[in-house]
Amino acid sequence: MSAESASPTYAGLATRTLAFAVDALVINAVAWFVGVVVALGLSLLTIPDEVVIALAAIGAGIALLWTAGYFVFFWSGTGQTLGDRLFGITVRDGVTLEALSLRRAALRLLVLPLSALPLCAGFLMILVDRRRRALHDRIVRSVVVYAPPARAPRVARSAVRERVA
Amino acid sequence: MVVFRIAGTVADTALRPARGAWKYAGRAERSARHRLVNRGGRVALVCVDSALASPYANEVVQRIVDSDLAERAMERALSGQLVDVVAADLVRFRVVERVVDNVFVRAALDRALDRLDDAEVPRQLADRVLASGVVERLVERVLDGPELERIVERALESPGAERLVSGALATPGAERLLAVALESPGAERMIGRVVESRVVEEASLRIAEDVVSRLRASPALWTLIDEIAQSPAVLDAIAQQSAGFADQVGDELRERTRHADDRLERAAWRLFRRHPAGGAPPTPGVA
Repeated sequence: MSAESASPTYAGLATRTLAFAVDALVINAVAWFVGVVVALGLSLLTIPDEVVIALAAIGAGIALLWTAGYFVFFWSGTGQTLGDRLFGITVRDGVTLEALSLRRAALRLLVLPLSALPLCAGFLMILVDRRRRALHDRIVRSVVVYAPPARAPRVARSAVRERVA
Repeated sequence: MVVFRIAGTVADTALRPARGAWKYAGRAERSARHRLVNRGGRVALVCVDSALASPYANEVVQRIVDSDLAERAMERALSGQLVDVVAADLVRFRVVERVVDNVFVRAALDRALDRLDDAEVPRQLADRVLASGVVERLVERVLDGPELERIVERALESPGAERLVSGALATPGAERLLAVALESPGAERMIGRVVESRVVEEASLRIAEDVVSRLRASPALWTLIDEIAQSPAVLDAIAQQSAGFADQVGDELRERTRHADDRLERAAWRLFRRHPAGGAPPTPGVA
């Protein structure tokens, strides 16, 4: 991290948008898969409409929790969601460039709609901001920087050599 | 009858001196003839010795040898039955064996060979033999006949041939000879012709097809392939290759999105006619 703190390169709008799209795809795929499984299971039963509405509300709540948990978990952990990892970006503290705490990650998720409300003007701030920060980044004092891709250690060749030896 | 007997006795008595004289005369004639022959022989020997000892003897012998007469006489002698008779007698009486035995016994073989060598007899003999075409006919006969084939077969089947070949190949001289032969341009051309020949090509194809067909039919090969395919090293290599491909795709994707970031940002700058605050460098995103 020391190298990154020396001269971090901030992620731009295109990369962040595509990473967010991948995250949305993952979240929706999991939610839809679980929802379909639950719906198929409930379809075998005769359930009153009120109960169905209540279950739908509960499912929506679970979906919201799942979405929030997804982002908070990854932002406060490695700072990288699955989409961020794919595109090589990570969410960091604006000053220390460390990963966000759990509370700040949750706060970032809560203020995220503020960037979307005025016709996504909060997101367009990325284009003109010096550190490519959106509105919610400014509020939470976080930044999104490019991260070197994590590669799995190449052990195959060494394993072959050990076997040959 | 009595008369006749008396007459015979008288005649015998009368002729006895004549018979004695006749015997004496014959004895004297034989004695004189014998003495004459002895003396003549001695004179002849003396003459022969004188002639042989004279300086003209060699000249005479040389002229006789060089004359056509001697040559014709030799031809007649060799073309006649005398040679056959002599050869038969030589064989019958084992003359050669005895002479050879005597030569060996007397240890004169070396001296004879030395003299022959000094006189260049082997060279002359070889020249005469080679010029006469005997060698060619002999070689043709050997090559056309079945004896050579039998000899070669026996030689190849004998253990001595194997020892001979092994010993010859183990010598340093054979290695040097082989090295020189292999490094020569002639060997290279020869090997090139052999390799490019149709026979070698067909043989290679046949061998390859045969090997492939046998390998296909061999269950050990498929067992080996299964073992290799299921080995951890191969599985790790495949996983690494897949991961490497995914990494390559990810790198390309990241690179493209970064360029898109830059282009979007430049477009925004141009739209708002402004630059990042603080005089940031044209490359956006760098603090």
